[in-house]
Parts: sequence; C-alpha cells; structure tokens
Amino acid sequence: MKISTTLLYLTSLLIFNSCTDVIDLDLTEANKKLVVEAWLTNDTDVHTVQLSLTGSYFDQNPTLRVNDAVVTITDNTGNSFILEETADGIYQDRFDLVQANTYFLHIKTIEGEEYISQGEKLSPVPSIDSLYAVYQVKTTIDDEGYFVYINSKDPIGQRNFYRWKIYINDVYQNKADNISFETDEYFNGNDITNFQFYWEPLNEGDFVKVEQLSLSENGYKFIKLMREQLTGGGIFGTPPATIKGNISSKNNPAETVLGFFGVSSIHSLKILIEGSKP
Amino acid sequence: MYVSNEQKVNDKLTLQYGLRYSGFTSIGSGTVYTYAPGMPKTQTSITDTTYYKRGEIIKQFEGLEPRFSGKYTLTQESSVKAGYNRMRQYIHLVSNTSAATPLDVWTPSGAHINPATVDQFSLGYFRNLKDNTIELSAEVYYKKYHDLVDYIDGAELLLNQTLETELVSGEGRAYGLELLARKEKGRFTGWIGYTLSRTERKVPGINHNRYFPANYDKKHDFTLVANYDLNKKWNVSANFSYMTGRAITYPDGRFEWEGIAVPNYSNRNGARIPDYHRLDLSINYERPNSSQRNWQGSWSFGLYNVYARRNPYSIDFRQNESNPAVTEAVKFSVFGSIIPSVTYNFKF
Repeated sequence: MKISTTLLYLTSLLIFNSCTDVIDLDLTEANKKLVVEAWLTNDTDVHTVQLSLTGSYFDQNPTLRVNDAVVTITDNTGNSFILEETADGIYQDRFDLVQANTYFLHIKTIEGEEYISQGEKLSPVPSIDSLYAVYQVKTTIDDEGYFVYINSKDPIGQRNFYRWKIYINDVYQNKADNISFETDEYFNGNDITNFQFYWEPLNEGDFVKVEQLSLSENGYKFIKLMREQLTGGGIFGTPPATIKGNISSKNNPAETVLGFFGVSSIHSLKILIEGSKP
Repeated sequence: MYVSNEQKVNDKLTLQYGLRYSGFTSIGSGTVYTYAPGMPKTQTSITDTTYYKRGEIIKQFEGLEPRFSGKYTLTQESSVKAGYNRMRQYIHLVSNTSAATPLDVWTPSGAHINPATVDQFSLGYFRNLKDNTIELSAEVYYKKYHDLVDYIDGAELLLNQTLETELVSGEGRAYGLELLARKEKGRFTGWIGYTLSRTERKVPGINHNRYFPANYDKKHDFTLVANYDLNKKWNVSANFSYMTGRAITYPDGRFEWEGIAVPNYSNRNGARIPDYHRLDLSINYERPNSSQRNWQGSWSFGLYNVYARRNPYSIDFRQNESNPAVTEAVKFSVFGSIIPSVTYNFKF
C-alpha cells in the first residue's frame, strides 16, 4: 500500500504543479483611441477632465496624454464652461454644479476631431449617517482586524444607483476588487444598515474616509462593466468585451471612445480607527 | 416523421434519399415579454408582458429536413460519394465562458428564439490500395447555418429571467477538407488524419457585422495513431495530435482609468491561443486467448504528454497582484507535465 500512496501523491503533485504560468504574448496594437476620465462631484467647484490615448497592452509606461484640446462643459440651462489645460492632459475650470441640471462634455482635439457626451444628470445622494469599524477575530475567510461599515437611507419612489469609494490613510483604494456599486433594486426606500463594501481588515490607527456617490443609470452600467471586465476571468469567466462609455465622435459615430463622463453628488465621512479590541 | 428510400440505379450508382418532418412547440405556463421594436432588447425596453396558462401554446415551429446521398463506383478500388442534408435544431447552446467548460446554458426555441437550421453539402473520393490493406479518403464539405444563437458583449447568462436581452441571432458557415489514410492489417497498423477547416459566424452588432471565427474553429487538426505488434503478446503504440489553438479575444491596447491599467478588446475571437500538440506512448501486453478461461485480460503502460508540453487551456489578462498599473497574461494548463498511466482491461 505504501508504494501506491506515494505514487498517487507524486502523480497529483505532478499534475497540480502550478498549472498557471505568466507568459509572454505578442499582441498587435490597434489604432490609438481617445480615453476620457471626467467625473464631476459636487463637493468642490474645481472640475477636472483628463484626456489620454490607449497604449500597447504590455507597455508599462504611462499612456500618452492628449494636449491642446478644447474642452467645454455645458448644461441644459445654457451655461458653458471652458476648461484650461493646467497640466499634461489635465483640463480644469471652476464652477458650481447645480442639482437636477444635465451636463454635457464637448471635446475638440487639435486634429479637428469633435466628441460629445450623452447628458449626465446630477441627482442628489443621501448622506452617510454613520461610519464605524468593528473588530473581528481571525476566521477561515478573513484575517483579524477592523472592518468598516456604513449606515444610510435610500430615498423611496425613485431608482437610485450608488458608488462607494474608500481612502485609507489618504490613499484611494483603486484596485479592481474595490470598485463598489449598487442599485436600490432590493432595498428601495429602506435603511441601508451595517453595509459593508470593503472587505479587507484594517488596523488601529488607520484613517478611513468613505465617499458615497450617486450614479446615473449609464454611470452604473459603466462602473459595473468596468469591474466585470477587470475582475471576471479565469476559465469560468465571461469573455472580454469593450467597456462602452457615454462619449461618441461627431465625425465618426462608429469610433470607440473609452472612459466616461460622469456627474455625481457626493457625501463623505471620516473616522480614525481607535483601539477597542475586546 | 421520416420517410427514406435506398435505390440501386445500376451496378455503379446507388442513391439514398429521405425526407424528415419535424416540429417543436413551446408550451406554457410561462411569461413572455414584448420589447420595443427597432432597437436592442433591454430590461428597460419591455413594452408588454403576456402570461400563458399551463398547456397554452406559446409558439409553434415546424419544417422539412430533406436528405440525399449517392455513391458512384469508379473502379473496384475507388468510389465517389456526394451528399446533402438539412437539419433543424430546437435547443440551443449559449455559452459565454472564455474557455470550454461544463457550465453551459441551454435554451429551447420559443417566443424570441427561432430554431437553428443548417444546409450541409459533402463530396468525397475513396480509394483502397494494396489489396484493400490501405484505405484512403478525401472529403470536402460546406455548411451554411441560419438562426444561430450568440450572445452580446458583456452578456449575463446565468439565472437571467430575460435571457433574450442577452442573445442575438446570426448566421454561420463552415467548410473544410478531410484527409484520412488507414492501415488495418499487418504488424504495423494505424491511421493518419488531417483536416483543414474554417468555421465562422456573423452576428449583428458584433465585430462590425463581419464574419468572425467560431469559438471552436480549428484551422489544422492532425492526428497520427500507430501500433506495432512486437510479438503475439506485446505491442507498442504512439498517438500524436496537433491542433491550431482555440480562438480567443485578446486585448488590442490598454488605457488608464483611476490609476489602474484597463485592457481594451475589440474583435471577438480575433486571435488564437498557442497551438496544441501532444504525444502519448504506450506499451501493451495482452495475454493470448486461452480456452480454459472465458475472459481475457490486458495491461497497458503508458505516458501521456511525453514531452511535457503545457498546452494552454485558457489565457487571461489581469492586473499584476502587487501593482495594479502593470498588466500580464496568464496561461492555465490542465495537463502540466508527463502523466504516467497503468491500465488493466478485461473483457468477457
């Protein structure tokens, strides 16, 4: 019996000997596409739009920025704000966002290509009533540490879409697993109690800021597709798809423009995790 | 219902033809949504809901499936065959995983999904050599598919109440050449097969409405099986296969968003994973037939994947675990190395 158990053990070692490898692939790069990162929030009057281009997939250098474009934000009440390029590919202007207004982003590149976004309506967001941390001992799934929860309330009678962002010690947690979003499909009009969207344990002394943002239906679909494309994978994953945004080219409607122009109301709370371990 | 006839026209020509009539009915109880016309179906474009009682007919499909084949003998050792048939299928495989997995969704034809049909044509030349010890054949085929179900980009197929919002119907075509040589007699036996083929689909809204390779399209498929009898008890055999890699959608670029690198994909199935090839060897022992026992045992000692090739089963793209701005390609292999095997068979 000893021989066959050893044989079985060796055979299974052979088979499961790290069957995943990082490999080198030769990928051809397609034509460069415009990438727009523009998310306006109502907690500030400084609004930023970043324009860049796509790069080759394995090229680890930062992608090229788009300079000298004419970037304008308009709204449905006739206002028009021209943004100035304050840094490489970064365009900014100062103005206040108004609740229930619909905003549009216009871009005209130095080559004469014109782009326009779909309208994004600013909807209010409920405030986060409380943010707190609870210490949990080590379990089979998680390490020990403090886990953060929030309480809020969903307004009744309307379709709400949310996004949450978390900053730990002033560092924005931007990994794909941290992209958090929800619709009020299952909790419309109810209290959102003891809600957890960030699953990593934190330590005593960590400074945590949580932002709750309102999303339009298009914004929700974009964030959801972004997260699915970044985290879905493996043999049971969904196949890749283009992450469609809400911006299109006036000259060439079939052109793919990446990124999204979003407008959100935002409310944030901060806490410092203090020791209260039992 | 099926009716067929085999007719021997003369010494050289034999014909076989038939007609099949098939039908499928989708019966309630069930809920059918009506969607706004002229635009893609989404959950927000539902205009009406119809409830069907138990046993009530939702939609009925029926059609004819003719088939025909003929064989013409050229000489005593060679012949030509030709065939045509049409088939209808009322149940559809909708699988949107990036690799072939057991997690597939099947859906029957119904209010929003028509049955799939295919017209298939084939023509072949068959020849035997050396007193019928060697068989050779060459066949070409062409198939045209209609109403094939495919999925939209980013489709959610599992547990979806409105599955039709994720599906689109398209057409397909497949054509190829199959060559086979077989030797059944003598100490040295085996066969070599080679198929050159292409299978493609065209679906509105995908790949700018142009044909793209189906998931299982394989340009080259080569197999060699060889056995050699050393003596009455022992024989050795080798098995070699080579296949073009499966079609896959690779990124054609990356972009930065909120400080992370995001891959961008465009053409569905526009690339291939690396080719698949594998060699297996085995040595087999068969106890000679004994009149004393009414069963016969045999042993087989073999090695799968002799040169330990890690054929990729699937390839994924992900952010590097320590640095989200770095992207990498990861290959997953099922057979990671040589696998020895010992088999005992007995027949009675």
